Amino acid sequence: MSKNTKVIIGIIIVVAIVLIGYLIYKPGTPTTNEPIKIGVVLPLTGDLATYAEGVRNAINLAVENSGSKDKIQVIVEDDHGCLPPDAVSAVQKLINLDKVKAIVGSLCTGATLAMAPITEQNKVIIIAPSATGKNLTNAGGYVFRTIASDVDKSIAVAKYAYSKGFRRAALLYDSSQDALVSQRDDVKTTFTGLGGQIAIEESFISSDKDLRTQLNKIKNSNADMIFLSAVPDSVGLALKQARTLGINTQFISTDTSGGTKPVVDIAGSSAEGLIFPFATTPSNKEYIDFINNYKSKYGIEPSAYAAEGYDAAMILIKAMFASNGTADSIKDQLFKIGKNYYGASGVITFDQNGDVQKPMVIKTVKDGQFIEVQ
Amino acid sequence: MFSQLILNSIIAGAIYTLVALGFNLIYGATKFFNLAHGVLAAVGGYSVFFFGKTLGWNIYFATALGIIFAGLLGYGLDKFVYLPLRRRKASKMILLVASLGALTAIQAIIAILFTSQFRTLSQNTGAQKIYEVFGGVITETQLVILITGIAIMTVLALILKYTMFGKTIKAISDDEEVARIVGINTDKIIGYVFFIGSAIAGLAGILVGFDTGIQPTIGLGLLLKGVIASIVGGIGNVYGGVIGAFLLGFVENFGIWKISGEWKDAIAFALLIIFLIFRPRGIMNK
Repeated sequence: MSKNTKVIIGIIIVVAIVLIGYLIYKPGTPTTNEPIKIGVVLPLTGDLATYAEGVRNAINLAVENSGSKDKIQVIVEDDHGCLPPDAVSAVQKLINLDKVKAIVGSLCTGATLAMAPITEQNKVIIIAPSATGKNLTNAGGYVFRTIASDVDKSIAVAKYAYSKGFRRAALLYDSSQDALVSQRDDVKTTFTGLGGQIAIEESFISSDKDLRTQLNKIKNSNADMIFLSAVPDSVGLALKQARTLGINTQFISTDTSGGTKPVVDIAGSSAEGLIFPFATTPSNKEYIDFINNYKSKYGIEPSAYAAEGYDAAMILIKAMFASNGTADSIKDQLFKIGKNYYGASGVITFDQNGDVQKPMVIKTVKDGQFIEVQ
Repeated sequence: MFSQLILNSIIAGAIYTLVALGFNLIYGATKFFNLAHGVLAAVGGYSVFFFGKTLGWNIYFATALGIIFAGLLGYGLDKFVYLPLRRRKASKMILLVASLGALTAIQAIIAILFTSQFRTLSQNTGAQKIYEVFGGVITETQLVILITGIAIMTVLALILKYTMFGKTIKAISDDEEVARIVGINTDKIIGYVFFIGSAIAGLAGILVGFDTGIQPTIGLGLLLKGVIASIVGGIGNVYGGVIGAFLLGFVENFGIWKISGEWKDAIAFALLIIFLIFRPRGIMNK
C-alpha cells in the first residue's frame, strides 16, 4: 500500500472508533418504548434468604399492580447474605452493565452502606426496604429508605426497661450485623445514661445456632433483664434455649425482629412475655390489601419487611414514570410522591435525608400473639 | 455454672461425633474429602420435615425414612458421580471438586423445594422434657443425640473389627488396588460404605433439626466441624473421630467462656491449625 492509502485508512479507523464510542457512551434519552429498569440487590442465598425472597416477591407484586408490567424490567442480583463485597459487585454490574437508574436493596445496613458510595458517585437512586442502621441517614442525597432508622427503637426500649424498674441489664447481640451492633451501642448508652448498669455483654454471629454458653454466662451474672439484638431466627433460638436452661429473666428485643413469625414458630411458649418495639401496625386499607394480594399470588403470608419492599418498589415505579429519566428528576418525584403516602407498611413521608419516621410502640408476646403493652 | 458448661461441651461433641463418624468411614475407604457429606445431613433433616410435618406421618417412621433416604442419596452420588470418576483414575482433587459441586447443587435444590427458612422438627415447641444433671440441664433430644453417637460408634467399631464386611473395608482402606487383586469387589463395598456413612450423616441432620433447627445451608458448617474433629482425632480412625469431636466441643465452649462468643468458629479452626502443625496424624493414629 502507498503511504497515502495508509494514512487515509488510519483516519477512517480513528473516526470509526470515535463514532462507535460516542454511540455507546452518549447519555441515553428515555424513549417511550424502552422499559424502565429497576435493579434489585438482596441476600437471596444465605441465612437471610427467607426475608429476601419475601421482599423480591413484594417487588414483583408491585410491578404487577402498577399496571405497567410490560414497561418495567426488574433485574435481580444476589449479595449472598448481605456480604458487602458481593453487594458492591452486584451494584457495579447493575450500574455499568444494565445501566439502571434506581435500585431497591439491600436487606441489611452493612451491605447498603457498602453500595451507597457507588450509587452516590454514579447518581443512582437506592431505596432500602429494611436497612435500619442509623448511619444510613447521612449516606447520601440519593439514598432513601422505607423503614424507620434504629435510633428511636433502642432509645424507646431502654427507657421502657428503666421505667419498669430494671437496673442491671445483660446485652446479648449479633456482632455480624451492623444495625444490631449500633442498636446495642444505643441501648447501652441510653440505659447507662438513665442510671442503669450493664451486668454483662455477650455476642454471637447470625450463623451460630448454639447460644447456650453465652446464655449460661448471663445466667451466672446478676442481670435482672436481657437486651437482645438479633435477627428473627436467633431471637427464637435464644428464647427457646434460655427457657430450657431455666433462665426466666425478662427478655427485651431492641429490634422489631422480636415481633416476627419465626420467633413464635421456633420458640413456641418460650416466647411469651418477650418485649419488643414495633412500628405501629398500619390498620389502613393498603396494608390489608397488600396482605391479601400477596397471599393470593404466592399462597403464603408475606414475611417481615415485605410490606416495606412493596412500598419501596411502588413509590419508585411511580416516581420513575413521572420523571424525565434523570436521577435528579426521579429524586424530586420521590420527595413529591413520598409525602403522606399511604403505603402497605404505614404512612410514608421522606424527610430531607430520605429517611421515614414511623411512630413506634412497645409490644409483647401473649398467647402467641403480638399485642401492645398497656 | 461449671457443670452446665461441661454438659454444653458434651452435647456439642455428640453432634460433631455423628458427623465425624460418617465422614471418617467414607474417608477411610476412599481416601478423599467428601464435601457433599455435609449436605446429606440437611437432606436427612428435610426428609423428616417433609414426611413428618408436611405429610404428617408418624415421626419415628419419618425419621427412619429420612435416614434411609440420606443413605440412598449418598449411595447414588457414589454410583453416578464418584465411581465413574474413580474408574477414570481421577485424582483426589477432582473428586473433591465434584463433591463440592454436588454439595452446592443439592443445597440449591433443597432451597428451591423448601425455601431457605429456618425450620425446627420438634413437635412440641417450648415444653421439652429436661433432665437435671449435677446442677446442669440437658434436654431429652440432647440426651438422644449423646446416646445415639456412642451407640453408633460402638456398632461401627464392632462391625469393623469382627465382621467380614468390616475387614473388607479395612483392606480397601489399606490399599484399594491390592484389595481388588485379592478378589474384593471394591466398588460394591465402597457403595455400601457410602450408604452407611451418608445414613449416619442424615441422622445427624435429623437430630440437629430436633435440637435446634435446619436450613439448607447447615451442611457445610456441620461438615467443617466434623472434618476438624476427624483430623484432630486421627483421620480414618473411628474412635479418633469421636475423641476429636468431644475435644472440639470442650475447647469451643470453654474457650468462649472467657472470650466473646463470636470467636467460636475461630477457636475451632485454631485448634485444627495447632494440630496440623504439631501432630498432623491426630490423636489416635500411630
